[in-house]
This record gives sequence, C-alpha cells and structure tokens, in this order.
Amino acid sequence: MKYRLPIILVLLITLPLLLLAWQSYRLLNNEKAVQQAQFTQLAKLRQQQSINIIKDYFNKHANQWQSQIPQWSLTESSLNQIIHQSPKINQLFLIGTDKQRDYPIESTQYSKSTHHFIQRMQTIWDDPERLFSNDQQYDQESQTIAPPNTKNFKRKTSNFLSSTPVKTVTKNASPSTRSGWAMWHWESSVIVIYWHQYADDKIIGIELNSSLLMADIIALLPDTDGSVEQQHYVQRLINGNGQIAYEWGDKKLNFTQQKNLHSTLLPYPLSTWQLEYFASPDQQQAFGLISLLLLGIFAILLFSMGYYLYQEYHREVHLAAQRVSFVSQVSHELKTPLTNIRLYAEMLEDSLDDEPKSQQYSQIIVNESQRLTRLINNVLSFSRKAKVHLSAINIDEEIHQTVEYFIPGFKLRHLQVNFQLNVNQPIFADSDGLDQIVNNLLSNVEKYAVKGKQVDIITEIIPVLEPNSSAYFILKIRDYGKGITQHAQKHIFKPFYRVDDHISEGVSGTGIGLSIALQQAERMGATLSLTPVDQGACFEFKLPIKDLN
Amino acid sequence: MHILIAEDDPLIRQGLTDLLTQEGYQVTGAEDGKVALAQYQQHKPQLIILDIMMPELDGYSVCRAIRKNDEQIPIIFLSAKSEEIDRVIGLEMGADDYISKPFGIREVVARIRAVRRRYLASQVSTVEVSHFKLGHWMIFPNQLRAKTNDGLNSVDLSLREVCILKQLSNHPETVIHRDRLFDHCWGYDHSPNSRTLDQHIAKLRKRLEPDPKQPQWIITVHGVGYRYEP
Repeated sequence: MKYRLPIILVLLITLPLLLLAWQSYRLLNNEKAVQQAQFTQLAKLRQQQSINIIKDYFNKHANQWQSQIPQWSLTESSLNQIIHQSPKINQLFLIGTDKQRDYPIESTQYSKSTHHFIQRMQTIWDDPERLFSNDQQYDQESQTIAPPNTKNFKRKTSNFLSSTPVKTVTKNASPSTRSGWAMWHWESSVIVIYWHQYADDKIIGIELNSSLLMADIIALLPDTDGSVEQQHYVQRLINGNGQIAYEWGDKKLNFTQQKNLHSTLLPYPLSTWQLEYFASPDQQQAFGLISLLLLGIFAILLFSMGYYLYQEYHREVHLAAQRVSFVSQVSHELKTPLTNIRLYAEMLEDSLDDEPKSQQYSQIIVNESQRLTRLINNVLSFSRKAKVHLSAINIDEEIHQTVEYFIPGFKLRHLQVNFQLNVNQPIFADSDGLDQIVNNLLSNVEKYAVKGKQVDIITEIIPVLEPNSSAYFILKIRDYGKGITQHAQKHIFKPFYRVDDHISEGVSGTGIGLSIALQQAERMGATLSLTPVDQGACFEFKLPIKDLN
Repeated sequence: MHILIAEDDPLIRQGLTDLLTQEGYQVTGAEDGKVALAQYQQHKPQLIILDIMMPELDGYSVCRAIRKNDEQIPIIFLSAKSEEIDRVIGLEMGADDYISKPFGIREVVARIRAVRRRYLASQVSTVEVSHFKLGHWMIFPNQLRAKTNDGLNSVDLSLREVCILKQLSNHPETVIHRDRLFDHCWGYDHSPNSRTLDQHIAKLRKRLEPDPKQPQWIITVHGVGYRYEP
C-alpha cells in the first residue's frame, strides 16, 4: 500500500512516454519511407533526364549513320577514305553475303591499328550474327525503361562484358535493311559499333572513336556549376567495368550511405553502364532530430511533473506522519497528569464518608478521568499498531472488571447492566485488546443508548459443531436504545464515520471507537459484527478458542 | 511485605506509596534508577515497581541489575508507552507484569496481589500460613482471598484486611480494642486517623456480610472496638 502512489506515478509517466516514443518511432519510419519514396522519385526523374540526353545522343547518331551509310560506295579505297575523313570513325568493317569479312581485306601486311582492330573484332569474324544476337530479346520499349530487376540484369549483362557484344537491336527502316548498335568491352576500353545490314545481307560496321563519343556524351551531360539546384545531390556515370566515367553535382558529397543511393542501368546501347544518384542525407535527419528533441523536452516535462507530484506526495505523507506523531506525543504527555488525577480521585473516593454528594462528585471525577483514558488509548491505538499478547485469561472476570468501571456512570444515567457471564474457563485472548473493545462498545452505549435503560453483557461458548471447526467464545453487548439505521450499519466500522441523526446530536466523539474495536478483534483473530435484534443494537465478538496446550 | 517504588514523578510516587501503605505494605520510594538500586540494596524489598522512563538509570537497566542478584523477586513495570511494554515482554527482561499509565487504583492493587500470589506459590520455602474461618468464609492469607465453603464465591482482600480478620477470628466473642488492632495491623509507630479503621471495617462488611447494615459477624462495640461473633 505504501508504494502504490509512487508506482502509479511512475506508470503515469512511463506509459505516455512509451506511447509517445512508439508513435514517434512509427512517424519517423513513415516519414523515412515517404522520404525514401520522394528520394527515389527525384532520383529517377534526375536520372531520366541524364538518360534521355544519352539516348538522344545515340538516336541522333543512329539517324545520321542511317542516312549516310546507304550513300557510301563499298570499295576499299572509298572506305579507307571514309575512315580517314571522319574523326568519329575509328575503323570500319564489311561482311559479305557469305558471312566472310570483305573489309579490311585479308592481307599479310596490316597496319598496326588495323591489326589490332582485327584482333578485337575476332568474335564478330567468328560469328557475325552476334552483332544482332539479341534482336529478339529487346524491343524498342525495353530500351527506354529501366529494367525492373536491375540486380539480375546486371549480373546477366556482366557475363557479356569480357569480349562479346552486349546486345543488339534492330531499328527497322525497311524490311530489307536493318541497323543497330553493338557494344562491348575489350581489355580496358570500350568498343562501340554501329552496324548496318544492306538488303543483300552485306553488313557494314563502324567502330566509333569511343573517347570522342565519351567526350561528346560528357559534354552533353550537365556540368558541375555549383548552382543551388545541384546542391544536395551528385550523379555519376559508371562504365561497364565499374569505373567512374563522369561525375557531376555537389562534389562534397560521398557515395557512402546505401539508403541515399539510387542506381539505374542505362538503356541500350550502354546497357552495362550505370547511372548512380546520391542525395544529401541532411534533410532527412533534420526531422528525426526535431522529433527527438521534442520527445526529449516532453519527457523532461513529464519527469519533472512526476517528480513534483512525488515530492508533493512525499511531503503530504511526511506531514501526516508528523501530525500523527505529534498527536501521540501529546497523548503520551497527557498520561502523567491523567494518572495523577485518576489515582488521587480514586483514593479520595475510597477515603470519603458515605455522604452521597461527595461520593457522587468524586465518582464523576473518576469516571471522567477514565473516559479520558479511553480516549487517549483510542487515539494511540489508532496512530500505531500495538503487538498482540495472547495469553490465557479468565475472560469473564476480565470483562466484569472492565464493565465495573462503567457501572457508576451508568447508575447516574439510570442504565442497568445485566450480566450473563457463562464462561468459567480461561480463554486465549489479548487482555488489552479485549479491554479496549468492551470499553469502546460500552462507551457507545453510554453515548447513544441511555434511553434503553438496560444493557446486557453476555458471554458464552459455542461448542465444536463440525469436525473441522473450532469452538467459539462469544461476547454480546446488547442495548435497548434506538438501534442503528440500515444505512449507517454499512459504515459504522469505518474510521471517522459518525452516525448523523438526532441521536448523535450534541454527542461528542472521534468516530474511531468501533473501527479500533474491529481492528483489535481482527488482530487477535476474532470477528466483531452487528447482529440483528428486535430493539436496540447488539454487537457480537466471536473468538475461535485455541487449545490451551 | 516491603515494596520498592521507583518512579520519577513525585505525585505518582506519593499516591502509590499511600495506596500501598493503606493496603498493608511497607513502602519505600525512589526518585530515579540509581536511588532505586541503592534502596534495593539497603531494604531488600520483596516486590519492586519500576517506572521505565527515569532519570539517571532507566527501568530496564534497573531491572537487569536486580535480576543479576535475584531471579525470583517480582518486578512490575510502569509505563506510559505501551510499545515499551511490548519490548519488555518481548525481550523477556524478567518483568512479572506491567501496568500502563494511566491506571486505576483497583488495577494496581489487583495486579500486585496477583503477582504476590504467584510469587508465594512459586516459593518452596514459603511458610504455609494456615487458613482460618470467619462466618461462612474461609480466609486464605497467602492468597489474599476469602472463599465460601462451597467455593462459589470469592473475595479479594488486602494484606491489612487479612490482618484485621485474623485478629478478630483468633479471639471470637472477645472485644478487640481499636488500639490493639492498630498496633497489630498498622504498626506501633503508626498513628492513623481513627476513622481509617472504621472505613476498613465498613469495606469488609460490604463484601463479607450478607447484610452490611445489620452485621452478623463483625460487631461494633461502641467506644472500645470490635467483636467477632462466629
């Protein structure tokens, strides 16, 4: 019971805090998800812009070549001339209808560059079909949209990287001719081929100058200009070998956090290339930081409130304890003068003549000092829990002695006591407790039931009725006053409750008598209850009899 | 019987001394623990009443010191604090009983009689004082009780009352002079108010005579004393 309030306080503080923390955690997660989605969207958008630039570049060149190639004469000298004239063209090759290489013509004296070219194109000489081997696999649409499963795609394409063409796609100008791009890595460089198949199945292939091509693409892609728009993100182009080809945007950022990184594979023909996008994590953390701060402030507020409440509670408890201790201290201090009043009044009474008036006066002093004694004992019993001393006592005698103290006062009020004491044996009980119970019950009779003229004091023993139950000692104190109303019966044993009607009017009392009597009864393992009677009130004290041995 | 009362409040000490003297005991008072121990050594009382809260030496210490010498002597504690009593009983400090303040004189008298009775009963060496007859009562001096022959009624008596009854019973149908009763039951150096004896007789009659107004056994001989008519 002592710790109930602190526990409630702790719960009151921790529960909302936990709830709040959980909510914030969820909110933070949601926010993160939203931010992630926004980030992905933005990343996709920005990447798409770059991709479009690259795609446009390739499309434009494809169109150029498509219009130029049919006008070329396929003689060796004119092809040689084309190579020399166009800086974009690294080398050319021509494959005849018999799938054999027509150009560069088979010879024993190639120039060094031609020799290298023939070497790196070996896979095409072996099987020219490889140029467009992926014809069926990719159509126009799949080129523009990033493959849904980039991981698988990466793996698949990386297999091609060694020296085989990655993919080829037709761009059918007419049913008889087709053309497309082929691209692969050779050693550390990249090979980009534009090929065109004539109606007679001859294939012409242009190996483009890859450095020039890269330079073109890089020139088209945005520059790092430090503009506000470029802050907070950085993009880079990764080639098929995993090397960074170009990087732009906010150079201060590093590609460190996986969650802020978004990579997309480039479309045909640079399918093994990747575009990586990385955004600044700052904006994301800001929200988390703010909510954490708010949560912290709220927690501190709650804690200080709880601490304040606890302090208040503690103070109250302390004050109450102080009051109780003060009351018992005062009561103790009252005991010495009271002892003297009682001692000398009783001795005076003993030594007085039978003169009725002086007898009566001293009787009153004695009675009142006894009343004060009871009052003080009640207050003290209420403020501390006394130990129970069970001992075998001659219970009838004990009760008789206690009642004796009341008889003079009762006589003054014309109240007659009827004893029916039927227990002629020692009973295990707490003599002080029993004394207090009888005192408090009789003092109620004196206060509220004088008009009944009589009070019965009955003791008896109820023998063992069932095998497993014990015998009981019963004490009944019954008056013939007004009785106790149904409503009041529920409350009379509660501390500080006083029956509020005309009977109790003008009668002083603390309202703790019955509750102390009940407490004392329970302490010695007995019960105290109100038993129904026709007239007045009857209190029954019921104590299980312990074997004296 | 000699009783030592150790109590620091002079009024309580005085009151108890008067009360117990009236009962027929010889009483010595002590105002603190040290004096109490000195008085104990000097007078060798047969019963000790100890207040717990005392200057110089508290009741517990006095009790311990006395118990070292004598394990038998009855000791009764007086206390204003019931929780102290708990401790006394709990520690089994050797107290025979306790009286909590504020107490009534009947309680004090009853408890002292009870303790004395127990003490005498436990003493093997106690001289068996034989009981004697008075009217239809049998008086048992060691028990401080008068009982009817059938054993149904029992009356508690003080030491002094037993003494008076003994004097009367020993000389049936003889007038016992007031002075003789005083000398015997109050002592030679004691000169109480002559009414004291009459009050004692009145109280005895109240309890023992079937009709106190028309006494059968304890008869007043005016101007001289009393006579027992068996």
